[in-house]
Order: sequence, then C-alpha cells, then structure tokens
Amino acid sequence: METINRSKAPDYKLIDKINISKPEILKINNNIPLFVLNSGTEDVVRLEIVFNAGSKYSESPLISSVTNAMLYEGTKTLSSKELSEKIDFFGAYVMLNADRDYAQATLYSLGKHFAKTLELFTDLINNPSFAEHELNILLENKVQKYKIDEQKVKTLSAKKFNEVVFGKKHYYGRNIQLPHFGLINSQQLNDFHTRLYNKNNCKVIISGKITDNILKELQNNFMINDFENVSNSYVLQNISPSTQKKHFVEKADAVQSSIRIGKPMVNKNHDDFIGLQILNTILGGYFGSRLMSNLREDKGYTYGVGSVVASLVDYGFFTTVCEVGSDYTKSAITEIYKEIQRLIDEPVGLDELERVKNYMLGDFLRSFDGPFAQAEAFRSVNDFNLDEKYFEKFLEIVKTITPNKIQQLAVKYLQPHSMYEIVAGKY
Amino acid sequence: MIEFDKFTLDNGLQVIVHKDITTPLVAVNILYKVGARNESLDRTGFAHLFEHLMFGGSVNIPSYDEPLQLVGGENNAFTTNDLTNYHLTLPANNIETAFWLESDRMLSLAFTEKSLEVQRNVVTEEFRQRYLNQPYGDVWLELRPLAYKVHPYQWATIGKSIEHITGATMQEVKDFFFSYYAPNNAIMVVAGNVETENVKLLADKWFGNIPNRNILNNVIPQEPEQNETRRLLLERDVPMDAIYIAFKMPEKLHNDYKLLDIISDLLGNGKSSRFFQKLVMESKLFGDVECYITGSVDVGLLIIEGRINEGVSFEVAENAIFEVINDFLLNVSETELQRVINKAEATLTYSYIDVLNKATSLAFYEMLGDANLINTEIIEYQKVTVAEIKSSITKYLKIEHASILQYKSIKN
Repeated sequence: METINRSKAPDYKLIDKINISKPEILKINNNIPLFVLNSGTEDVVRLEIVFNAGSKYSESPLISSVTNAMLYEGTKTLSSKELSEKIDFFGAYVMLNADRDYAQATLYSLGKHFAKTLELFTDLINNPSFAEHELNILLENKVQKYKIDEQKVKTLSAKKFNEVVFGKKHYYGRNIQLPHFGLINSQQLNDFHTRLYNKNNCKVIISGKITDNILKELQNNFMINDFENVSNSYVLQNISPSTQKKHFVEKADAVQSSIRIGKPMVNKNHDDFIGLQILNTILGGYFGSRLMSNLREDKGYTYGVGSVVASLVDYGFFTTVCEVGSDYTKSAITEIYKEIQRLIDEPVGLDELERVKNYMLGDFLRSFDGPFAQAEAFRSVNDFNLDEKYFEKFLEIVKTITPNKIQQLAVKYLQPHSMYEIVAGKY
Repeated sequence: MIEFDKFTLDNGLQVIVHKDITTPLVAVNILYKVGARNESLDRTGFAHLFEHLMFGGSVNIPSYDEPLQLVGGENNAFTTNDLTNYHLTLPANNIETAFWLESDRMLSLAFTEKSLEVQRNVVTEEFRQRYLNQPYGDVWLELRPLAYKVHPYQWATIGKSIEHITGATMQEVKDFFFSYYAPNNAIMVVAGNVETENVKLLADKWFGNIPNRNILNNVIPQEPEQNETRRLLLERDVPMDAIYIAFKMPEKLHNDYKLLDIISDLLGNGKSSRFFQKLVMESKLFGDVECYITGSVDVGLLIIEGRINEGVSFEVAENAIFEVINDFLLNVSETELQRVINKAEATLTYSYIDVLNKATSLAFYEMLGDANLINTEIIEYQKVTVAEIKSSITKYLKIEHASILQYKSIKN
C-alpha cells in the first residue's frame, strides 16, 4: 500500500458551473401563472399555491394564519375528518403556512394518485366551511401552543425584537397576543378568504416528476375562485423602530438567556444585499463563523450562535441569535459586539474569505439539489419580483467580492451604536 | 428500489455505495455502532459528548470543519441511544476530502485538553437549552427511568446528570474512543454521483491501513418484562397538564415491531387518527394527543402523549385514552389499516428524494444486519392484517405494561 501524507489535504476543485434550473412558465385556469420545475427520479409531485394573504393583509395579525389553517378543517361537502382520511389514504400531505407576506398551501402527492389528490386539494382551497366547532377546537389548540411558547426565552426575545425593530403597530412588528384568540369569528375568516384566496391574487409552482398527464390534469381540473370586485391590496407602512436601544424581558427562573442584537436592514431588492449575505456568513452564517468559533468553540458559552440577514417583501432585518447560560449573558453580549466591531475595523483575511466563498458556493449547489429544493429556490427570488438573473449575480458577487468591499459594508451597516439589543431571561 | 454495492475492507470497515447521478453532490455517512446504551451507569452521556469531541481536530488535521468548508462541504452528526452517526455532503468532484477527514478522525483524535474543556461547557449549555429551559423539557429525563429499570435506555443520550459530563477526564475519553471507534465497528455509506470502483480505491487508500481494534463488548442488560403499572407525578410551572403513557414494545428485529409501529400511526399520527378524532374533536378532553414509537433497537416504547384541556382530571384523561384503545380493538377496519400503510409507503418515497436520507437509512439497516431492508421492510408492512393488529393490541397495550407520567401544571 502506498504511504499517504495525512497532514496534506487532497487537491480540490472550485465549483465553477452550477445548473440553475429555470422553470417553464405556463398559464392555467385562464390566467394563473404556473411555474413548472420538472426533475427527479421518484414518482412524487409537490404543488404549491401562494396567495398574497400574509398577516400584513389582515387587521388582526391572527386572521391570516387561522384562515390558512382552517382550510384543512372541512369543506362545504367534506367534514374535517373525511377530508383528512381521504388525503391520508392516498399517502398525500397538505402543508399550510402563513407568514407576514404570504399564505401558502402545499400538496405532496405520489404522481400515480395526483388526479384524486388534486381534486381534494382544490376543494379545500376553494370551499372551506369555516365551521364553528372546528374553529373553536383549532383556536384552543393554538392557545395552548401559544402559552407554551410564551415560556420560552427565544419566543420572548423574538417577539420583542419584532416590536422594537419595526414598531409595535407596524404589520411586521406587531405580535399575536392572547386576547386576539377570543376575538376571531368565522365571518372574519370567510371575508378574508373571499378577499384574498382569489385567482388574480396567486401563483402556482409545481415540482417533481412532472409528466404530460400531470400537466393535462392541471390544465383541465385546476381552478381557483374568481370573486369579482374584491380588493387584495394593503397599505405600505413606514417602520417606526423604538427610540430605546436596550430591552430586557425578565424571566426569573430562566437558566439561559436569549440574546438578539440587530436592526432593520435593506432586503433582497437592494444592491448591497448579496454582499451583506457574505458579510453575515463570516460573522454568524455557518458552523465555522466568527460567532460560533468565539462563543461556542472557544468559550463554551452556548450550544449554538448565529446571525441572519433576512428579507421580507417590504423591509429586511439583521440579527444575531443565541441562547447562553444566564451567568454568561453579559460576557456573550460583549463578545458579540467585539466580533461585529472587528468586521468594521479589519479587512477579512484572504484564507477566511476563500473558505467562506467556497462554503457559500457549496451551499448554493445544495439549494438546487432535488426538485423540491429547486421550487424553494425559485420562490426565494420570485417572491421579490426577481428571477434567475439574481442567482447569476449572486455567483458573480460571491466569486469576486474583496475584503475591502466587505469592510465597507460592515462600516455602512453594522455600526454597534445602530444596533438594538434584546435580552430575554436573566442577567 | 434503491440499488447499492457492498464490500468490506480487511480491517472490517463495511462500505456501501449507492449511485445517484441526478445530483451533483455526494453524501458520506459514517455510523459507529455505539450509543448511550453502551455507557456505564456512572458515566452516562459519553457517546454524545464524544460526538462533540469528534469535531475538535484529529491526529493529523487540526480542524475538521475548515478544510471541509473550503471545498464547499457541510456536515453534522447525531447520537441516539443505539448509535452515533456522522454525515456530510460535498460537491462530488471533491469527494476525496471527505475520505481524508473521516479516515483521520477514525485513526485517532487530537485529544486536546482545550477541546475537552470547551465541549464539556457546550454540552452543559445544550443540556440547559434542550432539557431545563423549555416547558416540559425534562419529560424524557423522568420517563426513561420510570419505564426502564435495568436497560441503559433508562437515561437520555445527554446523560443522567450533567456531573457525568463535567467530570469526564481525558483518560476516560481516550478509553472510550479506542473501545468503540474503529473500522470494525463502523459502517460507511457513500451515496450520490459516484462509481463504486472509485469509492473502493479511495476507501483502500484512506481507511485501509487503520488497524482494527478490540471492541468493548459489554453485554447490555436487557429489560425484564414489566408486570405492574408504574406512575409518577411531576409538578412544574407549565401552562397545562400533560400525560405521557409509555408501553413496552418489542425490539426492532422482532416480528411484532411493525405491528406496533402501525398501531401507533392508527392511534395517534395526524388528524385522521383515532385519538385526534375521539379525544380532540369529539370529546374535547385534550388539546392534542399523539402516539409514536421510540424506534429502538432493543425493547422500545410506544408513547401516547397528550395536552389535557382545562378542567379535565388526570383520571378522566387516562380513562378516555384506554376507552379509545378498547374501542379500537373491537372495530379496527381494513380501510383505516390500508390508509396507514399507504401513508407509510408514500412517506418513504418522499424521503428518498434526498441523497443524504438514503445514505443514513442504508447505514442504519446495515447495522441491523442487512442494508437491503431499505427495500424489503415496507413489503412486510403491506402484508399486515387486521387480525394481527388486534392480537398485538391485546398483547402489548395493557395497563400493567404501562409507565404513566402525570405532568401537573402549577403556578410558581
């Protein structure tokens, strides 16, 4: 056997070519945009309908998510029980989710059962019954989960962060409170559904092994309600961040504190965003990041620490996220600011930048692996009115960005005095 | 059908290759046949602590993560009561980096004091974050020792007590490594855009000269049959009462295992299940009820867990659960059985879209004795009859086999 030098890393190749899958764009049900991502070997289909019906479209922040969740609680012809029995019988899943911007329903089905699962899926989207009995049970269940979440320091800090950074009254900053649950009725849900779960207010993405038969099935049998003369708009609102920088939510019996340090930030539609993603990756965006290396791997303050630059449709935000032993709360905050300041004061070293770039390219490759991942990648641009050119721009910037440029971004966006600091737990 | 090739190196390392050319990636999964069940009573949490130490540098490579990130890779690991599993994905043409990194840490770790000291702290924070600082977070720390009196399943992977972790010495860590981390106690699966011939060459080159080791083969004490209902009442500052009922169920390779797996789905997996329909939708005694199995290699547990609605006593809640089970025994139908089997089959198909899932499953089945179970296990599920389901309910879901944890809400 040949002797090998274990101290020397094998040669490696840079990722230079990534096949970015472009969807085929069709129209169904007269004018609904349909994006088709056909790939994969397994006989599976993922059909996602996205409505402009997130919580920013509703007066109470709870109406959007409850309307969405109630889709699975029975239709005009099928009870909640019958509906779930039928969907389960075909081995299908329906996932429902609403965030601040969008509400979506996703069907996972075996290709061989698609005709039948599609029928059930369109029924639940178009004809929900919003029955009182099911609504009350769903609300009770949500109240219980709410109360459990309220005992978690990470929930307390995340909610406070939203309020502080966007403003308590802003549609991105307001949080669901316990009284909201008692004020919901099925008429509100019905009105919200009629207004927004509408064919001129949605897009459809299908991915997986998409055969001609599946497309034919969609062309012939897919439909979304067409209520006329309804308003699907919302009013763009300026954010009003808190005037106070430091916020503390006490939980006296906590053995760990949850810390968030962050601020409002530009989103994906801004030219600096991709550079900021690179900057963020260095700081706290991967396992080898500076925050992880310092707070976890050097000091052992925490099980995990990271940072994000996130994009909502109208604004973005930046925050670090961690839970640390209560005794370490102050030291952890000091170290987080130290790492932020270091990005402002010193250009990142070339070795570190090389590693971050290659990691991000590998991550980019993973984000297109498999048909369902491609559907998610597609939405990550389409939701912001961008297309695959954004991915090309991303690759270009990741490959060419310099330490100087990264430092400029840190100077411009990460000044510690501009940050909001939220601690939930115990000092 | 998931096809694969299989070979074994002279030192005992088992290697499985699954080719999938639809992905530009390759997944490498290494399973070590050591979990919390291999630990001794006074040194629990070691297998899991070890998982952390495996990222603290190996004998010839000071950092595991940095070189992997440099070639576009990503990795993680998990520890269960039965095994420790390491997995990574990277661009297929950089596959050799994975072999270089994984073989060096199988050869030996760096065993630095700094790494041990830091990871003791990190695991302590993990213990706090996951078990102490969450509502209901300590359920498994209490339920396991109630259900198991002899078998090491009586402690969670994090360990019985944090002192076992904070007191870990370097010598103990080294002993643990050389007793369990060895080519002859590991299974490597390479899945993705690869050729078996190439994997053979790389496996020989990087793993071939790692010596096999004497694996510590302590007999794991098996749990005797339980013949009395065990009860424990906990009082905690949580928003609502909750109940946990744990029934003993057979080991993974037992013929009845699949029956209990299906029963758990029938009773409590999703909205169409018995518990949800009867106890949440109809009688409104619970906010939610679920039923699932622990999936253990040795004698496992079928767990029923429910959040009890306000004003409902533990006694009423418990009786209602047993009523549903009794009713279920009388009238379980072909249709509902078929529904659950269809769902299980479909769920498998969805999970095999991901090359890493396939790699992790292949390694687990090979540990059980045959990687091809990945293809054949579901066929056994499809053959299950209503009569078998009924006889298993009678045999296993008896109250004298149950350990019942009442988790009572009190306000501090």
